[in-house]
Amino acid sequence: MKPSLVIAAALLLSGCATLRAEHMLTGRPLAPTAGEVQVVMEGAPVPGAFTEIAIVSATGTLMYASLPSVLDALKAEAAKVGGDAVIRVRYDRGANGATATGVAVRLAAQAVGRGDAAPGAAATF
Amino acid sequence: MRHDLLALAVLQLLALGAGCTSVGSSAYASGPRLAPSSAPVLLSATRDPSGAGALGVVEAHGDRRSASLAMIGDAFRSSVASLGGDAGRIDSFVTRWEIVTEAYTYACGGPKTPMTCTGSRQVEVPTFTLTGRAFKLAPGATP
Repeated sequence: MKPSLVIAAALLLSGCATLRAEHMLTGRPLAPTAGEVQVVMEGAPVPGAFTEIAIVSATGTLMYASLPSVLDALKAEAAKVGGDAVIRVRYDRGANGATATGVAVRLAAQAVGRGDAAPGAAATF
Repeated sequence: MRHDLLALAVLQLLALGAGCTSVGSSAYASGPRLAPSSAPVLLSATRDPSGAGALGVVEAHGDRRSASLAMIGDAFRSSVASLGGDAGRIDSFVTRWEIVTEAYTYACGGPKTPMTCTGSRQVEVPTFTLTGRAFKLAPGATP
């Protein structure tokens, strides 16, 4: 195959493929997280107390319709609202797309250590 | 001719508007029947509100190609309020990817005889659904 055809095909593919993430606040946003964001899949035990911040979701299509792509986007979105973990993460896969959705939270130890809101203080209920 | 084109444009806009209702919600009362609430609705995806009374089950869904998470969340809040609730607990969220046949219109015909043609195509639609419960907070309760 000619290189120009390969480049054209790659451009076409990347032009159609999308990866986007967004959130819906269910608590109070905190200062963005710079460190690692932990992912806790649905059904797995949550590591201790936490403060709920938002529901976060990431959707990828075509070349971004993969677990690594949507989980990376999910973690980045959680970090934006101050989460250091995303819990109850659910992964839903289609033929050409994939979505990861979870709840962005700040784990209790980190919240106290960073001088942010105490656990529960920013919770909705 | 100009009026015909204008009428066609208006009709297309109306059809587009009617066909693009991508968010929906519903509620099922299973507790005390209250009048719809106009108070702000607080949401949580991890905790039941303490000391609150359960009013019923609610759901909201939307086509993620056009509906944002916030729009679907607002529909969930509206459903909670329709049962008289002021707090909602999101118990589950799921995205269902489905291949559907979708109708679309496109301009066809010549410059002198513009027409609108209809076609159909298969697309994969991600539908996001929030399911949960509506609550009425106890009077004076601090959320």
